[in-house]
Amino acid sequence: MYLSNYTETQQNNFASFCNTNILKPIDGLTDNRIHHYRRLIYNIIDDSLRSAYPLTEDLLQENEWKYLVDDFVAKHKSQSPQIWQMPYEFYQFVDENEFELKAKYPHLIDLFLFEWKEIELYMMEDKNDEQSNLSIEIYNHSQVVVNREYEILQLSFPVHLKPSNTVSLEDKGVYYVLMFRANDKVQFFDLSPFFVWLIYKIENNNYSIEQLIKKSEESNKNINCKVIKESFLKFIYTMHSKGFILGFENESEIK
Amino acid sequence: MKQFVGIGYRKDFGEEFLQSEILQPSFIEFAPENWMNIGGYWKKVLKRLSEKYPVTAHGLSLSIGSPEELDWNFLKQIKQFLLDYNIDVYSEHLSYSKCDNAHLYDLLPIPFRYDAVKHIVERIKQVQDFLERKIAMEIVSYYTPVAAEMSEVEFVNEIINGSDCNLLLDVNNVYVNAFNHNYDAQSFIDQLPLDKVSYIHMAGHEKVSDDLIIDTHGQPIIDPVYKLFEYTIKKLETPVPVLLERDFNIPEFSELAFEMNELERICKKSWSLEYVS
Ligand SMILES: [Fe+2]
Repeated sequence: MYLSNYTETQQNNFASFCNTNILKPIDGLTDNRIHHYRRLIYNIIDDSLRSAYPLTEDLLQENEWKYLVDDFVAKHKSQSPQIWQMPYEFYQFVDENEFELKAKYPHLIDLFLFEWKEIELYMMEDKNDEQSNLSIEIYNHSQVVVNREYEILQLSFPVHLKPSNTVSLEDKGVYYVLMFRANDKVQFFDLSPFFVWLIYKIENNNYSIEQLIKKSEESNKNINCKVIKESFLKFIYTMHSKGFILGFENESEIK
Repeated sequence: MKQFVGIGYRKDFGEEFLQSEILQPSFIEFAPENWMNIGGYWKKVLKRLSEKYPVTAHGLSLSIGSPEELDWNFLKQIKQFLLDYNIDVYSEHLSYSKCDNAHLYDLLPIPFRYDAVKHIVERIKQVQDFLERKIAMEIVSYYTPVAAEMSEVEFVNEIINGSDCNLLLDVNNVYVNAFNHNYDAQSFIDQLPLDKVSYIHMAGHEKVSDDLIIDTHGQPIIDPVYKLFEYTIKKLETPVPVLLERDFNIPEFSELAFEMNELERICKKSWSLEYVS
């Protein structure tokens, strides 16, 4: 290590001023210049957060937003060298701190999660293999091939269904949101627990369409089989047209 | 197609950049930190861009001047990025952007001190070894010195010569620094290791008070900076790539084309006669 403690301290004090606005001794500064660094850094972080979380920014009052960003800049040590990933750390920071604001806005963390996942899915590395043998025809023996670029969020508030300033404690419950990337866009759908279950079955087993329908009927004994089959097929067709289902593997074609 | 002048690619340029015929850059520059570890739409756009143009990379988060260890995991990702997009030229900044285990996402001024020189020389060598190429280091704009015990130009010379890396000469930064710290830009240029210049940046800036310019990359290049550019490139032994940086306030392509054409014209005037084979 060639760097002296003195130089290291000068550097640390400079950086720490940019974050905290507290000036520890730094030698040789030109008067009234260091605060430009703090301003520039603050603006870079604030801009990046505002563009990542437009709904959250809208929900909060300006002084509340500013308080959060101030607190984050002062206390958090950003770990990602890639600035587009920094907003995730902001959401985590709020999740672990900021209890007053979370009490005032019980759905705040759900909103952060919902907005962050849209960015994450939009940017994430490609996960689907090239699938050349997929069919658009469905037969009883077909297997469903799902787009792997998805996530199912479990939320306590319907931030995906209502404007966030209208969400209240009365809305508290369990909500599932399917989010996926298809055709260069991130789409989201509210899911009932049945479809969450169904996606899980499709992903983790090699069931055919016929088997999936049978399993669905077995786990929903109190519902009319015809209704189950219809809603099952409607889901499959819709999700295929939206790009969540990539297509169908038909044994006869594979052979 | 231009012969010398390229442009830094920004998200704001979108896909339209691929279709536009008016810029005709000779190459484009990517900031790896904006594009590493991604997929989807932007990866496809980047692939197409890299098939159409030669690409250089200009990093943001290496933080060569940090007191702490280099981030080897990050460097691994940089190396992969250079490989993925077939990039030879990688440049970074003579500054630090990470300190006390936190990224600040901006370029802080390194103290112009002898121990910092040794520290940085060693680190540049490590990075060059790891990336298996020479890298180019850029003189950054700064608004205040910190605990300096040598001049800026001495600091730059010691580092570039000591580490045997290339120099990315941002002519606008020299102009900004000369203005902000009251020295003569031309004589600063004269004292640089000009044989090590492998790449030039040009950009606009914003004057925020009578004695301070902030390097915003958000305005067109001003005439005195064009003049300093012409002065500089006449002194270079061989032509080097020249890049227009525009990061904020992104104008129409036609406005960027105007600046690029102007730079290309100056390059051709200074370089072509001597270097036509
Ligand atoms: Fe530059």
